[in-house]
Amino acid sequence: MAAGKSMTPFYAGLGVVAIVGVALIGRAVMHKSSQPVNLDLVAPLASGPRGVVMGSDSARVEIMEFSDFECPYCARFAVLQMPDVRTRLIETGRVRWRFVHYPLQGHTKSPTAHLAAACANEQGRFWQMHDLLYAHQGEWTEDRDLVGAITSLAVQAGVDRARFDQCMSQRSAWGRVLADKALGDSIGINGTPTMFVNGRQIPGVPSFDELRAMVDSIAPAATTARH
Amino acid sequence: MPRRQAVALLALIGLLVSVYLTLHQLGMIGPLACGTGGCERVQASRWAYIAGVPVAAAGVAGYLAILVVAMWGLQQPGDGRPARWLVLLGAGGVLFTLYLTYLEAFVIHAWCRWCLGSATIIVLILVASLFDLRASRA
Repeated sequence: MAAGKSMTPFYAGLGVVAIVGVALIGRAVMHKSSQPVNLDLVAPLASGPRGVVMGSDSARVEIMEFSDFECPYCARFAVLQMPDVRTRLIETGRVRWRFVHYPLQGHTKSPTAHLAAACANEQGRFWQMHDLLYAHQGEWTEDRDLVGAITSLAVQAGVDRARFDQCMSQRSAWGRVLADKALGDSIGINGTPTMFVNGRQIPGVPSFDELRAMVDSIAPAATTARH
Repeated sequence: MPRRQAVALLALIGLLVSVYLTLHQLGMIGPLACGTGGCERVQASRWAYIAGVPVAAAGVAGYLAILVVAMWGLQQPGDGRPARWLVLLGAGGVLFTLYLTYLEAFVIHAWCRWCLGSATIIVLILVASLFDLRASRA
């Protein structure tokens, strides 16, 4: 009993630490779900055309995504959220999506994937390549023949093989990737995916519902019909 | 006893940090509270997952195991077995942390403060466990 009494302050302290910790984590979770738009304004995005665009020029909302093909967060977003974004926000003319290449330092296979996507873009096959790279991320990142694995995906994406091979060997599309990377560096991107809705940074990786709520708050569905 | 209390307290703090990072990796928490921004870069890297499982989840499992063993040890003050288990778990945690810290320093080239905090905690746990083991053999 004496030992039990002497332990009481310790258990009480442990309980306090647990309660405070759980409360702080709970607050962080609630903060994310109750904050559809972060008002951290990032201004210098309009430094010339960058990235690869999908959607209508007249869309009132532009979502800019800095993304890395080797990043697992980006793959999860591309595979789980992007199909809904594409069919319900982009194809309906409400959103214009701008993908900006941002290969992260340390991701040694990412530059090859970005170059391949940029090469596919020269043949109008960027988005097909984008989808395949993310859907098969776990495979090409582990493949010893990286270029072979990525070329195989490019063929699936529908590129002309000879032109694609030439682009890859001459690295003729690499400048586009570098320009995008430079844009990201200039505004202090430090993780991927990082997204901006009409120039305002979104906290974390949003779900489709969160993105739709942001789009609704900027351009309600009824008013976009005239565009 | 104070050493096992310290291990239990440190394990609880480590557990909370790991839960925080795991929830972030699962997309349930927005940007990490991290002054340098290096946390996002580390957490977005491919090394933040092992076979599709967030690395932080391994921290949750490890710290939970240490917490359970420490609590067991507190109920059995004269028993040397918890001390040995704590040293084993602590050493495993330190080795894993060394690997992760190497990745931060030489591969990702970014530092995650939460990860460094966790590294400090696991080292302290190992040190306290070694003292506990020595005391249990005395």
